[in-house]
Amino acid sequence: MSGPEGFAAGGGWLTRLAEAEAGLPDEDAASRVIAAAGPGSDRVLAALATTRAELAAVPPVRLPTAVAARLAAGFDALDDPVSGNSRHSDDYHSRRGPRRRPLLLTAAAAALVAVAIVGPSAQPAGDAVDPASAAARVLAEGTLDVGELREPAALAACLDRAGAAPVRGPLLAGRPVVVEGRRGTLLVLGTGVLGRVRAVVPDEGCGAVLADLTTGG
Amino acid sequence: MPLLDARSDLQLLEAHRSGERRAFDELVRRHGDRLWAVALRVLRDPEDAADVLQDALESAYRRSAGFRGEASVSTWLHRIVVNKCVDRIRYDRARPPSGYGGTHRVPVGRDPAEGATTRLAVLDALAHLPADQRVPVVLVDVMGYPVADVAAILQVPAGTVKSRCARGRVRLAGLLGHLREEGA
Repeated sequence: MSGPEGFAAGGGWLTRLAEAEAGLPDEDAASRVIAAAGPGSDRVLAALATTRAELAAVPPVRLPTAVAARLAAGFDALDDPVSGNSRHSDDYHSRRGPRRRPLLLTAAAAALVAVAIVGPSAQPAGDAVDPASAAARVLAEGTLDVGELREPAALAACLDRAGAAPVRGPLLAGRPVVVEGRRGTLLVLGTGVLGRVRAVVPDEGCGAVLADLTTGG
Repeated sequence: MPLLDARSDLQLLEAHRSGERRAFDELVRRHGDRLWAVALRVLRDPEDAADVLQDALESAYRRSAGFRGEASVSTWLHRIVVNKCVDRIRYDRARPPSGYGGTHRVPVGRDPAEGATTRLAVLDALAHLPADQRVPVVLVDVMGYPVADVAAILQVPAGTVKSRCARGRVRLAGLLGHLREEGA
């Protein structure tokens, strides 16, 4: 059985007909080619129309929040003179100033916080990463393993007890993590701003906030 | 801060070059959905698309001085994304998708109720087009961009875009089972 490549291999007539259907070499000549195409051309033209219709029916997509956050973090890194990256022109940093979107952590030292995502065995399941990367990873996975914090009332109460700012957007993703040796739950919350998410980590008993940052957008 | 930035794309790019902190963010906000769609539909894999989009936009971010104004900012951004996609396809060409042979016919639902199945088959089939056909088919037939705009993005004549689309549609029609040999 010959497959679709069979059409291409012997496809001079078929290709010419498809090109005419696309308006080549020009509309008048294309009309003449189609009119003279002979038996079978209707079937081919119908197949091409069906193919076009199916391509046009592919649904639109929106830039995922996690990807937008990744882009924003990447731009931040480009603006960070200590990251090793640099703009094309050497004088850029002198005009541009310092890092644009610092992670809004609850303490300055939290920039050095390392988050380990916890696996089924309650042991860290992978290398420790920064909170923004952990949030992006959990978002990309679509994980929502937060126990009772899935309930809005429980979530609000937990953040209140921990002394964190209240919830401003939907709970997008989350899972258990270990932050510098302390167990907690990473919660990725929407902020109402496209591409901008909040990652907050209350500890196991909602008694303290281990990390709280807003990134992206 | 205003909710909407009334400046043109070109004004935003100039502001970015001058060091304005959020100008490039606004360009991404305006064009990000479409650039993402192009990368995702050309590459199919979301992780690959995310990698390529990040690489492309960081390249644009760093090298905005290279924008000469011969095309629109949107065309320039699309061109960078498309070129990165083509680079990725060529890089991956040594690792073709498993289970695909040259004579494989992608199963397609014929019932309108099987639309979701058809869409999956279309995306599957697109991934088997060579890059020089896949990119214009995605831009023209999936994204709905005018041929002239695609010609500007790809920096080829409009006739070349039409020809590559035509050849890609023939190949897709075969992959999707719309074109069958006589007696088949």
